[in-house]
This record gives sequence, structure tokens and C-alpha cells, in this order.
Amino acid sequence: MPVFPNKVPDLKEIGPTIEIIIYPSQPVLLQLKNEGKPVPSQRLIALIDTGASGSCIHYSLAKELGLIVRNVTEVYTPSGVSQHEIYDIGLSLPNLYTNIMQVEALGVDLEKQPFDALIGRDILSQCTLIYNGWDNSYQLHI
Amino acid sequence: MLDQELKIYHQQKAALQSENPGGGFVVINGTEISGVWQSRTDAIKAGIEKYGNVSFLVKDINESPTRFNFSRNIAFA
Repeated sequence: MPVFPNKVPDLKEIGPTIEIIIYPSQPVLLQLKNEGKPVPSQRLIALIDTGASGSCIHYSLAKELGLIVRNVTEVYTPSGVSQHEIYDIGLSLPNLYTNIMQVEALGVDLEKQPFDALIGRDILSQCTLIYNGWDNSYQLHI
Repeated sequence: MLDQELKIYHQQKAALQSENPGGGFVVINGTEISGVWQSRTDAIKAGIEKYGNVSFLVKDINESPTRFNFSRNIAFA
């Protein structure tokens, strides 16, 4: 089972993060390849967030990758319920040598955060996460 | 965004669930329901083949209304 172990100076401050690569969804990716067009991708840092039921990306990434909204859904936060747009993306975890997973990601504003995406429980449902606050370390297994 | 498609989805949701007891993902473009597929990826692929890489709705006909929840506030785009 591939494992990504990491240790940071202050895990409480930074949180558990991991590098991810974002692509357009598989059908769009195949269409681009068939047309001989380049496939856009972005390598970025994501927070592993057990408090998020679904994964999220910073909305500007959606523009950069040319993603198109194909779902809208209600989102529940401590502030209440609101409707938001969802993007279909491909997502891989290079540290864990994963294939490209097909994910529905919410577009959110992460402008002032030290990461560009959230890995939510949709992806964590396929993983084991070990968080050791005592020694500022964590491990993600998939 | 996708207001017209969502209106059609909510109007037709019960009928779609009745016609597709095994569930599935519906593709709606404007007022047209293109069909229901067993996987989201297949539904997107079919939608792109029919309409091109444009905006259309792809929705799980049994989608839970509380599917997306967050334990803290997030600023949405």
C-alpha cells in the first residue's frame, strides 16, 4: 500500500497537506487528446480536510484549466445552506503514485489560504489518514 | 448557472427515479433531457459527444441534498 509520510515544524498551524495534480475530467481530457490539443494540468498543494465532505479547488484554477460547470448543489456550512457550482476534475496524488481519480470538486475562494485545494472525505474514503499531533507528523495511505 | 436545467431536473426528478430504479446520472441541456447513464463519466462523455464541450447539467438522480457539508465556513466563488 503506497504511503505518504510527512513531518512539519508546526502541524497545528499548517495542517496536513499533500501535493496534487489537477486535470480536466476524463471525457474532456480524451477529447483534447483526440484533437491533438495540449492537456492542461496544475500541480498544487492541498489541505487534507476531514471536516469537508467533498473536495474543493480554488476557483481561479477552474478558469486556468478551462473547466465547465456541470452540476450545482446545496452546500451546508455553519453559516447555513447555499447553492454552489461543481466542477468535474481529474485528480492524482503523485506522492502516492495514484491513477487519475474522477472527482466532483466545489469551486471555492482560497485566495488567502496557504493551499489551493481541499482533499475532502470523498477522496479520504479510499485512504487511511494517521495524524500524530505529538510529533507533528501525519501519514496518508491509499 | 444551469438554472433552466435545474428547473427541469426538479420537475422530472420523480419520473426519472421511477423510470430508472437502479439510479443513474441524467444529462440535461436547456429543456432537453438527453438520457440517463450508469456512471457520471459516461454521462459527461455522452453529453460532450452530443452537445460539445459546453455547459450542460449532469446530476445523480438520487443525489442526497446534504451531500456537501463543511465543518467550518468557506468562502465560495
